[in-house]
Amino acid sequence: MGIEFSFSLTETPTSADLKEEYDVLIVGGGPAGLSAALYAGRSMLRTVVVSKDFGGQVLDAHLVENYPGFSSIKGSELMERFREHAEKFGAEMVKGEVKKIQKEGNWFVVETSVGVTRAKVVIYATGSTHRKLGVPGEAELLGKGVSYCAICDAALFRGKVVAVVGGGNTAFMDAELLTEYASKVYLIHRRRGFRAEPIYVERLKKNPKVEFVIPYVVKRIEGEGKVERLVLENRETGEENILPVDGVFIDIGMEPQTELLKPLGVELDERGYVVVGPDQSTNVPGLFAAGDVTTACNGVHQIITAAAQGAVAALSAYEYIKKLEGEE
Amino acid sequence: MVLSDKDLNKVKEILKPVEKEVKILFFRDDGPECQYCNVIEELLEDIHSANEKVVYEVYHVKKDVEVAKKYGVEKGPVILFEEAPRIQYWGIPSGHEFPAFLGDILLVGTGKLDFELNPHLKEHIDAIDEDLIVYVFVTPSCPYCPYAVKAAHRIAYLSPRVKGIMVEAIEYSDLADRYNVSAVPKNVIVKADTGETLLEWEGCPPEINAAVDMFVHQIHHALLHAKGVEHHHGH
Repeated sequence: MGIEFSFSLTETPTSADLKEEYDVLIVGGGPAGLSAALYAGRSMLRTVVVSKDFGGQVLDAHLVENYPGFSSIKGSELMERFREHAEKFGAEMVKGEVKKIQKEGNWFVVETSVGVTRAKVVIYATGSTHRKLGVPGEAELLGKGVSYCAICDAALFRGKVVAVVGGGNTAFMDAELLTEYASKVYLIHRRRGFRAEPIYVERLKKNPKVEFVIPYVVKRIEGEGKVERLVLENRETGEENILPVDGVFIDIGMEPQTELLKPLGVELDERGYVVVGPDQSTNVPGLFAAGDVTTACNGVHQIITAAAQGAVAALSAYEYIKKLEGEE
Repeated sequence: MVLSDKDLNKVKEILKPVEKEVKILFFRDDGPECQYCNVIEELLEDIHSANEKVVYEVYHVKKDVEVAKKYGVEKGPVILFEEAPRIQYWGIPSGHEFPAFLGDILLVGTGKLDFELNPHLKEHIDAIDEDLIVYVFVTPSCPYCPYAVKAAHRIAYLSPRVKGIMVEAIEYSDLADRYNVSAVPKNVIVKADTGETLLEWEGCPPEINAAVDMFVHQIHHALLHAKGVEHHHGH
């Protein structure tokens, strides 16, 4: 592997100061939030993104191969471009955490870790977090062989035997990354079919280090102080099998992050996603949502779809503000 | 040259605030055990070319025994700052660790803290009364790791009792194995005199204030625990 020197977004020295008032406040700095910022900025709206990091989950992506115009680009580099692009059109980036969102009249009052501000529109683009298996041993052995970040930990499993759990793009990308280090990579999936793009599946099928373990689910993760084996169950026969491994990477999907929205009475669907209309509006006037946190993601957690929703949300925000000002 | 022209310009921009000379000491070794030593030397030359206030000296761990001994360096590659020798990098500060390294150059070169040192944290840092080593094991591709490195280094900058060491887990695989590193960042607080592990944990919040807060409190708890144990033995 070549030596790289990243100017990771997480470390970008510039963070704007939070002002008293904005037209649009965007919560979350992933592809949806940064695209919304770009479009809002170009609509000449006073725009701020408040986020703990700029790049979101894409920062965990080793290589992105399915964003048009880039046949292969590091996740952090793509997101740096997103951010720079949005800043070029006037959007401000504030590094911090949103603590509370309240509606007062036509304004949203937003409390953050770096101060309080108000905005006419909030675009909620907080994305989602790793879903857990919820099996015995998962929490106990976290960091001791259980990992949710292959890009962080893959290199620590040189010459070892690992398993990846999941059937989506992330699972396949992580499995592929792990083959650079591990001696053997099992891909465990509950079904015989995969949600991952066929190109990933074909590539991994040809990789001699990879063995597919399907249709199996993980019942338990076991080991003394570190992961030593998985107890698996065949979903068709019910038979239990023991699989000795040194590590297990869990990529079974994401859960939306909606805690901040509960006090606002925002409608969520039964799985906890924010219900949005075709214009990315929620049931709360002036509150739009975009990206993986919404029902519009349809289980397709992609940079391009998140970015598209961000663009729609920003343009809808512009129409909303224009209408609001017409009424005043 | 290991940095591209574009990156070199960014380094120039980032290091602009450096006010005084920052002297970096690099301890290298030969052969396969120091895989990235030549790259590190080139990197330091690049940084020097971006800002001439940043200077470096290269020592050989086996040949420059006196200097190595003075700084307690036994194995290369180790990078440290002459003015703040408790801030150390064991292994190359590449990938996501690179901005942490630039941040340390800024810290030493300006004397200005890049986080909010509230009185509560300062009190805890001033109260550290044992010589400690805080190891932060990283991989260059881990986006969360630089926060842990920065936190450990800032505490090392502020407390004369703390050595903060970034350990690149692949280059220092023996040490990583000794501390059972299978996820990064893995942070280990060790008593400097006995080598006793006081506390170890994985993970770090991706925000500098929260990261420093976590590390200061972990050190505080580790010391309380250590004292409790000693007290118990005293009886």
